[in-house]
Amino acid sequence: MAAPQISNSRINIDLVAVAIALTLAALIRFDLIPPIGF
Amino acid sequence: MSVQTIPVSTPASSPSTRFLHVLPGVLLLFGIGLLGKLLEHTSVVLRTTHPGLPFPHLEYVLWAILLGLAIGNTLGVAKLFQPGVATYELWLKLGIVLVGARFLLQDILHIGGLSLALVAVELTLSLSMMHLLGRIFRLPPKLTSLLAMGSSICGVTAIMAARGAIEAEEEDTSTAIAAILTLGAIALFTFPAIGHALHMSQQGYGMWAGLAVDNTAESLVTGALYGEEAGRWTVLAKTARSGFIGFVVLAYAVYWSSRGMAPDVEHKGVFLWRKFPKFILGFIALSILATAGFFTHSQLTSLANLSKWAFLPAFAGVGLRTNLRDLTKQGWRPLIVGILGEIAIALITLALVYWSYSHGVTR
Repeated sequence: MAAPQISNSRINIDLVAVAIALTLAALIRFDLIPPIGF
Repeated sequence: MSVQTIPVSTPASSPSTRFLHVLPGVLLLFGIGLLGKLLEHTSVVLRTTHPGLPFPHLEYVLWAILLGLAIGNTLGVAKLFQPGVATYELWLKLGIVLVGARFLLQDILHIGGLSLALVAVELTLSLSMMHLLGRIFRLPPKLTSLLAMGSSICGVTAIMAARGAIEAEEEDTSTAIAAILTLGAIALFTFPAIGHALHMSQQGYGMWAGLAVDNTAESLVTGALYGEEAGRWTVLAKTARSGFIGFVVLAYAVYWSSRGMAPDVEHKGVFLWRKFPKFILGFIALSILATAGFFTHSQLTSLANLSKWAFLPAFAGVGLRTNLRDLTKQGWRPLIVGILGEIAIALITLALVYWSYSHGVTR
């Protein structure tokens, strides 16, 4: 059975997620993107 | 049960090629997630217009997982989609970081501190329980270690972090992951029912789901199924629990190394930092910004909605990668150990949460 290979790039994924989140937060904070609904 | 092999690194060389490489799978994740959202909306409309018909009320998160499960276990995930499906972890962590904006720092310090204390107790009891069961059912020692780590901290992530550190066999790793994922899927249906039967508060239930359900994605869904507020507290409790991953994996690495069955850990500080889930730092950063009044109320709402959009593909990915057909291929003993251990952990954490709330823990 093949083992999954999903977490070898764990650090990158974590930091990428943080970078994207902070970028989106900045865009929202400075009204550079419209309000987001769900 | 096996988990699909999902290569993260791609042979692509340029960013645009890499983007095209993951695009089909990402579109599949969002497609399944959006279909789940559509089904939730449709069922609400149908129940309103046809009150006599028994349309089930399922949240979009559960629809997304069920659809992913159905597709993954019937059609399977074609190679074309696998690189993109592997991005589910990125969406999951993005969603968690964004939820940080919903917490005031004092909440994190107060309830997060409580979580840390409860996690410490839970870790001690659950690790002991899993090792006892592993011995009773005569599981291979490293498989028992993996099951113990997976069930006590954060599921698949902990198992994957430990795999190299203790030089576990590939089959043991897959078996441990299979058991954890299966038990997480069971929790999706049992925990909300138990919570309602016990009339648990949103916060109490959220804490319980965060402390008891192993894999991060399943834990968050289990919390969200009880209510939006419960879902937020689950994120906090689960994040606090994830913070322990480095310490537990390090302890096991040192143990197996001392027995000559794993490489030495030379720089323990570096080891801890490498294993530390860094998305927690982003979660705290957004909470600090929110506490400092950096965002308006409507901006906080936008951030909360963004986190839901991020969770949509993440939960679809959880369903897609859980292969129920292989459930019994690894034999029943690891699964039985997992089930007994998880029942014990669920009861222990439930008692811990009840004890905490009956001894003055309030929001």
